[in-house]
Amino acid sequence: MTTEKDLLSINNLSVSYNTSAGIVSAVEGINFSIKEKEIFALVGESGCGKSTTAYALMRLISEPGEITGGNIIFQDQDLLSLSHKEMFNIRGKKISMIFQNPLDSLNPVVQIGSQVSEAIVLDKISKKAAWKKAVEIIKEVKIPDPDERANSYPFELSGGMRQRVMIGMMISRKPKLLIADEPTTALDVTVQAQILEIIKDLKEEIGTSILLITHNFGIVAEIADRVAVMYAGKIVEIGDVFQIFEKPCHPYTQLLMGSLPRANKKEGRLKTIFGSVPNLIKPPKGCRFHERCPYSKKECQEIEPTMVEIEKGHLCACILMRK
Amino acid sequence: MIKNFISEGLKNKTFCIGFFIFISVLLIAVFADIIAPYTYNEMEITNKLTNPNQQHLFGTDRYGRDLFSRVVYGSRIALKVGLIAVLIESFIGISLGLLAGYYGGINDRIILFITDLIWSMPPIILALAIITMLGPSLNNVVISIAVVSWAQFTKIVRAKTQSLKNMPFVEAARAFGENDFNIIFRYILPNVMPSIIVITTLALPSAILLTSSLGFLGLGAQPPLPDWGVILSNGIPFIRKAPWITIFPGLAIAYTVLGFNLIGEGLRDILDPKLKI
Amino acid sequence: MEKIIEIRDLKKYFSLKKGLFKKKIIYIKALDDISLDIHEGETIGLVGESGCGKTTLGRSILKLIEPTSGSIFFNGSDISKASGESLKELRKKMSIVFQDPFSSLNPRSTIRTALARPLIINGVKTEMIDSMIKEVIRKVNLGEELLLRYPHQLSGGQQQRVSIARAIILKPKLLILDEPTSSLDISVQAQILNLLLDLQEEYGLTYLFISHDLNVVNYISDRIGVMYLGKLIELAPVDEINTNPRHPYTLGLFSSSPILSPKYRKRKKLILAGEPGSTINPPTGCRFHPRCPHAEDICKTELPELRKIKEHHWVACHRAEKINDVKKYLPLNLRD
Repeated sequence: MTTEKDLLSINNLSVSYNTSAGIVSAVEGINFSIKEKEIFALVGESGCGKSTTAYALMRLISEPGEITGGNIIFQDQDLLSLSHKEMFNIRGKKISMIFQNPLDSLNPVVQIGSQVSEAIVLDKISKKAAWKKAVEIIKEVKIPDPDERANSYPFELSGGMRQRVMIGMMISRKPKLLIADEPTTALDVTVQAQILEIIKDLKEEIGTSILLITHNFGIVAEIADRVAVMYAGKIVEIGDVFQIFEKPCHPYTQLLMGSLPRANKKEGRLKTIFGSVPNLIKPPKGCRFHERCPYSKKECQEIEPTMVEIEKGHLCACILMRK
Repeated sequence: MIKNFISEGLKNKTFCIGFFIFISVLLIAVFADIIAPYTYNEMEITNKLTNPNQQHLFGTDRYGRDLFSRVVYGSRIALKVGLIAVLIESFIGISLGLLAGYYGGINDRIILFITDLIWSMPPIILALAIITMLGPSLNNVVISIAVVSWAQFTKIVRAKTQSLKNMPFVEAARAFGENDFNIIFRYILPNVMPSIIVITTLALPSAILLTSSLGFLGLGAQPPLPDWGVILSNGIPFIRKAPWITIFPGLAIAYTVLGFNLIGEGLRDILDPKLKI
Repeated sequence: MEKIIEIRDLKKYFSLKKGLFKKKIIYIKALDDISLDIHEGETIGLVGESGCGKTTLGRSILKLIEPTSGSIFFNGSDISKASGESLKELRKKMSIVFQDPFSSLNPRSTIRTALARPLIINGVKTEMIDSMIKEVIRKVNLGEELLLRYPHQLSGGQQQRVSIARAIILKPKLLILDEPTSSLDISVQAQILNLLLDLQEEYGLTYLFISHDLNVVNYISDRIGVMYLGKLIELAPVDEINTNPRHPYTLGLFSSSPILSPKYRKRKKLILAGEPGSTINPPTGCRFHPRCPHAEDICKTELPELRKIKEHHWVACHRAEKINDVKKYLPLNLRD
C-alpha cells in the first residue's frame, strides 16, 4: 500500500463482541489508510462492521465488544497503545465524530451557544471570548441570525440546522480527521445537499480529512474521493470512487453496483444477491462471500482471499480477480 | 414463544426465587388440610399462650388455638382475597384503559379524571372509608381493594393503547376492514399483555398487604377466620409474653409478598424488548 | 387508460388546540386542494420533503385519515363519503404497504394469521383460505415454513415481503406504497423493487409509490408528482420531469439529489437555501416563494394553480414558462 502522506493507517484491525450466543467476529483483519485532505468512504450494508470500525478508531468500543488485534497509526502514534488520557486529548481535538441523529448528540436543556462554547473552552480562553467564537462558528456553518440562534435550544432548530451545529462544534478545533457516521440519513434531500457542501468545504478550506461511514451510495458518488467496501466484517475492495462505481472488481461490489436504481425500469430489472448475510459467530470458511457469490469455486471455500492491487490504487480481495 | 419464555425464565434468578416462593405458598394453601395438624378453630383453653413446642410448632394463642395451623389456613385467605381482588380490579382497570386509550376524546377525559382522582388518594385511607360504609367482612375487603387499585391498570393500559393504535400494523388492519372490537382485542390487547402481567404480579402483594392491614384494624375478616392480619393484631396485647403470635403471621405476610415482588421484577427483566414478547 | 382514482380538491387540515384554556385553534394544512388522476396499471411516484403531505395523501386515499373536504373517486365511487359496508367493499380494492417492516406486522400473530385475517374479515370461504395464503406466500418468494413464525423471527426483507403478500392477498387494483424500501439495505431494496414490478405485471396492479429517494422513484415510476407544503406543484412523465422540470423547486430537488454515478459530481447544483417551512402558517401566495430564486410580486400574493403547460405536464408556478435554468443545472443524458 502506498504511504505517501498517510494521515491514518489501519492495519489488521479486528473487533469482536462477546455475546451470550457466542463470539461475534464483527471486524476481521481489515487494512486501509486515509490520506490528508481526502474524503474516504467506508460503505456496506447493515451489519458489515463499518460503524464498529469507526468506534474502534475513536476507541469507543465498550463491553461486550473488544478490539482483539491490529494497530491504528495516526500521526506516527498507535492509537491503540495510548493511555486513556492521551486518547482523550486526541478525541474532539485531532479526531472528531458526528453522528446520524444530531438530536441525540446535543443536550436538550442547554443553549446552542453554550454547547459550542464548551467545545472551545477546553482550549483555555475566557467564557466571554468562547461565546463570541461560538457565534462565529454558528455563522460559519451558514446558520442565519447567528447571534439570536446562539440563544436557542436544540428543539427550536430544524434537523439540518442541528447537524450544522454539530459540524460546527466538531470542527471548531480544526481536527485533522472527522468521522461522519451516516451524517445525512435523517435529513431531507435539499438539506442533505447543503450539509454535503459544508463537508466538502471542510476538506478544501481547513484541510480536514473525512471518514464517511454510510450505506447511501448516492452521497458516496457525490463527495467521496476513495471508497472501501465492507462485507461481513471484511474489506472486499478499495479504490477511488470512479474505480468502484465504474470498474468494480469484487463480485459483491459488482452486484451491489448492479442493484442500484440508476435508470428507469424500462432499462431492465435490478441485479440481486441471492441469500443473506452470514452469521458472524460462525463465519464461513475461506471467503466470507462465497455462499452468495455467483462465481464461487471450490478454492473460495478454503482460501481466505488477501487484498491484491489490480491497478494503481485499486485493491480487491478475491482470488478469482473478476474484472 | 412459550418455550422461549420458559428458558429465559429459568435463567433469571430473581424470577426463579420468586416463583419458588409463590409455589410453596400455593402448595401450603392447597394442602392445608394435610399440613395443618389442627383446624384453625380448635380451642384448648388450658393450653393457651404456650411457647413453640413439638405439638404446637408455632405455639398457641390466647384461646389455645394452634398458631401453626392458623397461619397455614391463613394462606388460603391471603391468596383467595388477593387473586379475586386482582381479578376484579384488573378487569375494571384494563377495560377502562382500553376504552380511554383507543377512543380518546371526551370518554378519555372522563375516565382519566376519575382514574387520577382515585390514584391520588392514599389506598389504605380510601379502603378504610369504603369498608366502613359497607361493613367489615371478607367480601367487602375484596371490594374495597378492587376499588382502590384499578387505577394502576388503567394508567398503563391507556398509555400503551394510545401508542399502539397509531402503529402501522393497526393501520393495516383498519385498511383491510377490521372493526374496532377486533382491533382492540386482537391487535392491541395482546401487545399490552406483557405490561399487564407485570402489573398483576405487583398488584397481588399490594392486595395481600391491604387485606392484612384491614384485618389488623379489625375491618376485614371476622373471627374466627385466620387472616394473617387478624392473627397479628390479636397478638399485639401479648407481644411481651408471647411474641410468636405476631412474629409468625408477620413473616408469612413478608414471605408471600416478597415472592410476588420477585416474580414481578424478574418478569420485567424477561419481558424486555430484546425478547420481543 | 382508465382512470382508477380521481382526487378532487382534497383538503386535510389537522387542528391543534393551543393556549392555556385550549381555546386557540391552529391548523396544520397537511393537504390543500389536491387534485390528481391515477390511471389503471401505471406507477405514479410521489416525492417531496418533510411536511409536503405525501404520506397524508397516501393514507387519505384509503380513508385511514378522514379528509376535511374534497372527494376521492375510485372507479366512480366517492370513498371519502363512504362508510360501513360500502367502505369495506372499496377498501378491498386498495391496500397499503408501510415503511417500517417490523411495525407493519402484529408482533403477537403468526405470519399465517396476519395473512388470514384480511380473508376472514372479507368473507372468504374457509376452504379457500389455506390455498390463497400458500399461493400468495409463494408469489412473494417466501417459503411456507415461514407461515408459522412470528415477525421478530424474520429479517427486514422477509417482513416487507409478508406486508406485500398481505396487501395483495385480496387481489386489489391499487397498492399504496409508503416508502416501502427506505428502511432496507440496497440489495434487499433491489429484490423488493423487482418483486413489485413482477407482481404489477402479473396482477395488473396500479401503484402509488411514495418516497423521498429520487433514484428509486425515477426507477419505478411512469409519472412523477412533486409535492411541497401540502400542494402538488408539478406532475409529469418520468423522462419529461427529469429533463424539463418547470417548477424551480422541482429543479432544485432533482439537481441537488445525489446521482448514483460520480461522473456528474462536478455538475452545478441548484442548492436551495433554507428549509421546507411549516404547514401551520404556510407563506401567502406561492408556498415556495421565500426560497425561490425567481420569485416576483405575484408569487407572494397569488397562489398558483396547477395548470397544463404541455401534454401530460402540469405545473403550479406563475413563471413556469419564463424560467430557463434547466440546462444550467441538469446535465444532459442524465440517468444513463
